[in-house]
Amino acid sequence: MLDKRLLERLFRQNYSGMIRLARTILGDDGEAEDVVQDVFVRVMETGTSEPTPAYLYASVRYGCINLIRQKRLHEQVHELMPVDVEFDMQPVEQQTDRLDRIAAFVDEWLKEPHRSIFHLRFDLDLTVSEIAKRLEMNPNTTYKYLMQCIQQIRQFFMNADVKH
Amino acid sequence: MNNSEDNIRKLLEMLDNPDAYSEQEIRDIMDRDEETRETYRMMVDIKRTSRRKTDDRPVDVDAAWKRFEKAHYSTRRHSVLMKIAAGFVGFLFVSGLSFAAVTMVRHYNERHESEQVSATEAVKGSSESEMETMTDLAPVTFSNAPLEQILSDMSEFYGVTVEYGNSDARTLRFYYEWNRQSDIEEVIDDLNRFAKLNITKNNNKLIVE
Repeated sequence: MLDKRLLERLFRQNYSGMIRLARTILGDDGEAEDVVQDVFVRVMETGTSEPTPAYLYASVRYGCINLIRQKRLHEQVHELMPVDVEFDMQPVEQQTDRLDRIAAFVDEWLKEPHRSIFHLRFDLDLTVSEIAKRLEMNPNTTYKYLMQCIQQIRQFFMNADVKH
Repeated sequence: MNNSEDNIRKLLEMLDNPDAYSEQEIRDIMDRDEETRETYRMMVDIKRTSRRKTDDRPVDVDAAWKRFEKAHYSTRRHSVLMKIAAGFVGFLFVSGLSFAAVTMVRHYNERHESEQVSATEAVKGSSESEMETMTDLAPVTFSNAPLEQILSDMSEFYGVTVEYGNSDARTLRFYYEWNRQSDIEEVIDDLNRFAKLNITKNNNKLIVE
């Protein structure tokens, strides 16, 4: 059993980052809190030495993956969650860096109308027909623009991987 | 529209309304080709980016710690209070007895105290060995480790041998958090959730297909 004062210190130092990671993966505050609290319960019960932040973050992600695996396929795809277990293989830090690079690419390179379609689809979770209606656009054209957004980001990463 | 674009279009249509599709239809759409799978993976990352970017609410760590403390420490405090209460009831009971009984209790206590000293030493010894056991059973995290290494560590721990029906499997890499308090069957079940793995146990041998 880990000493309570040590556990509290670990909790206060790492909780913010851990809960943000869980929210990013799960998109649900309640589930995210359950996962992070479970990590600290395990540390409390089995920990005999102070775990590293890397271990805590990896445990959060592992807890999130386990939770996602228990969901129905329909829910997984509706929430845009990974459906294959090989998805989360990169170290947490690298993965977070990748998300920051996607955000930077969108801010810098995505032009209208792609930018608005992207924002409505991924930030506001609108369907393509809802987006088409809001932007007074043909649904087929909206699909085409949405595909182009995703392809542009994929292309950016493929080019970056080639350079590395 | 070429085939690949058509598949991605079908993916986007399905994602707008997955409830209109059966599980098999969803899998068929997602597994149609590598482009479609990669597009979905990219969408997962994009959605995470969106959640990360829009999650600008401050985190109340203090409130979270209090919730944790209440959920996981209050039961322990409760049991300590119960013990104190039980001791107090015991004290009231003893105080109602005669002087002779008190004397007997005192004699008993003197004897009991000496027993307690040796009992405390025994408890100390057992808690030290418990601590050693807990250290031995601390979870192990394999991060991007080859299967060969993971199973080699496990075979040593559980006292089994490993046979590879498919030699390519040795170099597959996985992220896995091994809870060493689990028995080997639970661990195999867990590992078999990875799509590329099929491990069976035959007596004291693990067979990797």
